[in-house]
This record gives sequence, C-alpha cells and structure tokens, in this order.
Amino acid sequence: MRYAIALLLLSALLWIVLAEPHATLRSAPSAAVAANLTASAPIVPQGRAFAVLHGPDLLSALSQFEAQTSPRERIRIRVEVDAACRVPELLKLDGRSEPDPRRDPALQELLRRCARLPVPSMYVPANETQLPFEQIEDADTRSSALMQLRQAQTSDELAAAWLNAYERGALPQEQIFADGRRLLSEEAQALIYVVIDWRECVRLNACGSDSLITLRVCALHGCTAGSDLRSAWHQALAPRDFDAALAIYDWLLRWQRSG
Amino acid sequence: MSRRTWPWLPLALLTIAGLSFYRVQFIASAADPSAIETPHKATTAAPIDNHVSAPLRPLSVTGHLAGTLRQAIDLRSALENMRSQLHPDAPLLHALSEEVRVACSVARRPDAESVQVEGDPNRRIWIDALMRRCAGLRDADLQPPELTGEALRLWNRQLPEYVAFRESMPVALQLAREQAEHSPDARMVIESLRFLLDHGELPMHDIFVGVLLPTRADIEAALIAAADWIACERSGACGADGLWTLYTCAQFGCPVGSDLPLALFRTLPAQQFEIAQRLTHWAR
Repeated sequence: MRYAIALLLLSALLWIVLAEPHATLRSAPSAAVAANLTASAPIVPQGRAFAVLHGPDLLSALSQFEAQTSPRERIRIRVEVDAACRVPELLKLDGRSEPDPRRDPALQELLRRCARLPVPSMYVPANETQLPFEQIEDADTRSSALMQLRQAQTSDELAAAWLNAYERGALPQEQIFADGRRLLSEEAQALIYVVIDWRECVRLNACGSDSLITLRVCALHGCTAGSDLRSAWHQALAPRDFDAALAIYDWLLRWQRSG
Repeated sequence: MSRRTWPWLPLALLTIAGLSFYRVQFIASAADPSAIETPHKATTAAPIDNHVSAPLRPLSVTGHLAGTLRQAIDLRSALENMRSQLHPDAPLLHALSEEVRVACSVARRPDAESVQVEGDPNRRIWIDALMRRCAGLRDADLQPPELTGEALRLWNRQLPEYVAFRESMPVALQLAREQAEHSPDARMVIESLRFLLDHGELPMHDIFVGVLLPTRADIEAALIAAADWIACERSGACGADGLWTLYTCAQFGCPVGSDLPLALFRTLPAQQFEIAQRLTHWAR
C-alpha cells in the first residue's frame, strides 16, 4: 500500500512540474484576444503555429503545420514566414554589409531559421503602386467600404479594405485620431501594415522577442536586445507614426467588435 | 484504514492538493491578459531629451543674414533685401532663394495628395503661416534657379567632392570640416558631413560617446535632419517662427508652438533623432 501511495505521489508531482506550463501560458490569452477580435475567425491551432513562428526547425514545423491546417491558414502563416525569410536578402540588396549590433542578432537568428527554406520571392503584391481610385464618393460607397472593413479578417483583406475606405474618404479620421490629424495615402498604407503585424502577433501568440514577426522587424529596422514586437515597432517608427498606429489599432478593434 | 497507511495517505493527498493549487495560481497570474504586453497598451514617446543643452556659438555674419530671411514675415521683401546685400553670384544668395522656393512650394503649389490632409489642424496652422509669408512671392521666385557662369563656378567650389576631384583630397577635407563647423547653409552642411563620413573623417568616437556606433547607412539616413537642425541653429531660426520649422510642420503636422527640434523628434524614429541630435551637438 505504501508503495502505491508513493507511486501516486510521484505521478502527481511529475504532472505538476513537467507538464509544460508555457504552452498553456502563451496560448490562453492569445486565443481569448483572437476570439474578441473576430467571433467568426477560425482559431489557429496555437501549438503548431507557435512552433512555426518560434521553433528552431522552421522547415519541419512548417511542413507539419501545412499538412494539418486549412489552406487559408496555411497562406496566412506562409505570408509571415516569407516576410521574415525575405529580410536577409533585402538587407543584402540594400548594401547593409557592415557589422550592425542593432540588427545582427535578429538577422543571424533569421538566417539560421530560414537556412533550409528556399529564398522567398521578392514579389510582394501588397507593395505594388496602386492606380488611383475612381472617385465615387456617395454615402452608399462609403458605407459599403466601412462594412467591408468591419468584416475583413486576413492581412490582405484588412489592408485592401482599409485602403479602399481611405481612398473613398470613408474613414472617420476625426474619431480615430484624438489630435484631429489626417493621413496622407503613404501614411495610411504604411501604418495599416504595422497594425496588421500587431493583430497577427496577438492572434498567433507571437509578440515575443523570439517570434519570426519580431525578428523580421528587428532585422529590418534594428532594435535593442530582448525587444518584443511592440517595442521593436516603437523603436522603428517616429513617435507621431507610433501614436497613429496605436489609434488605428484601437479603433479597428472597436469598429469590428461593434458590428 | 490500517495503521501502516494512516500517516502516508493524508500526507500524499495534502501535498498533491497544495501543489495543484500552486500550479493553478501560477498559470492564472501568468496568463492574465492585463499582464501581457499588447501593442495598444504601449505608452507614447517620452518627451524630447535635453536637445538644447550644449551652448550655442554667437551667430556669424552669414548666419545672421540667413536668420533674418528664415524668420522674415514677408519673404519677398526679405529676398529683395538679401539681393541688395549679397553679390548676385554669391552661393549663399542662391541657397537661401532655394530654401524659400522649396518651403513656399508646399503652400503655394500643393500636390494632388495634399487635398487628403486639407482638414488636418496639425498641418493647417503651419500651412496658413507659410501662406502668409509666401504671399508676395512672384511665380519666378518659385522656379528652380539656373546657375551659370561665375555663380556656378562659385557654387561648385563649395562642394568637397568637386574640390577633391579638381584640386586635392586634403583641400577638400579641410573645406568639408570648415563648412560642417560653420556654414549656415543646410545643403553645404549635408554635403560636407557626407564627405567626411564617406572618407572616414567624421570623429565617430567623439560624436557617439557612450553608445554603440551606428552603421554608416543609419548615419546617412539622419544627415538631412541633422543638416537642417545645424543650419537653423547657426542662423538662430529653429523656433516656431523659423522657415524650416514651418516647412517641416506643414508637411508632417506639429502641435502649436513646436520648434524644429521638437518637430524632428516627432517625425523621426528614435535612433535617427538621436544621431541627428548628436551630430548637431558635435557641430556646435
């Protein structure tokens, strides 16, 4: 009997101490926030996406993830992976070859994780120069642009809907920005990609210093050691742009929740 | 319950219950959403840090002249006054005319994009102030200048790259140092800083005391802001009424009463601002 109790005690101890609390810690809030963001959005299988965005063996994690998830989710994660693994090439093309303590740690980590993957295409449709929109600015067009923005979920959908609403003059900028500022189209375009980064990092539980998303920002713009994604963007952006990105992020959350 | 199991079973159960409680508490506190740093909880940027601490030198004659124009309420009269005081081929005259042209074009010849920010109060006040200053300028004043003959020769003689090619590297380096330390013309300051940077002659360890040396590309990215700041300081025109302040704030928007350093602080990433600030301190 005494041996049975000892065995019971030992099993309980093993369960308590070794049951990998980090997986639970990191996925719980992210899933909660993701659920708040969009009631209809599919919840990403956090364990597998987490392994892709944080694990040392990116290729294996990506293969496993792609074998087990929906095509839509596969594309969303692949976009993040490609964006990160494209950075070493971009820096090379930019002629940044000298030692750079603000970028090198993130760059070296990206090189290590991306080593077994093919170099992603440099073709990025989102960065194409947009032709001017035909200006049809009646109330219906504006209202429909805002509805489209309310329903947008993926990065591409959100960027397209945001820019469409901007071009149509549909964005309530006086509500979004406390200081009454108005955005130039270049600002509207640059800022929505920062906001998308933040939303994806929350959704994918990948805002920490070792996530691919943070490594991409740190390798491109430079950051201090241990920066998480928020801090990395804080360092990369001018204060006025950081404030604007925060305001857009908050407004988008409220706008999509109110639908 | 037998006497042999009596002390062990309750002890085991108590231990398991205690450890389970500890684990649940640990997970709950760590997973509290309020403890997770999300972007929308970020604090806004810290206020500008000590950007006017180093003492300024008295204005030079050319700095005083440049300052008169950069703070003039009526730019057309100020330009005419400048033309009466300087030789028609003087590089400073062309530099200041170009400054006026560039700054006033923002207000007088806005591009199609500017319609999008017409209602922006952070830009509007500065655009209106520029409009008032630029109101009297003729169309000819807003055309890019065409330098010829002696004016072009004198202009080129200020460019360290040109001097290095036509004369010698030591003369060019001397010229670059002289202009980086004294010129109130932003374009000459930037040409000179870039020349010194390219040839490894910027005293990096003096400029970047106590911090990691930035890369050349990062310094390069901060040169325009640094040159504007240095040139406006040398003409005593960095205040809210300075031409560079109006020009910068008309484009990006600034709170009322901003001076040029504050405008740069708000419109540059932190590292770029710090590089520009350190270059400006060094150039004082």
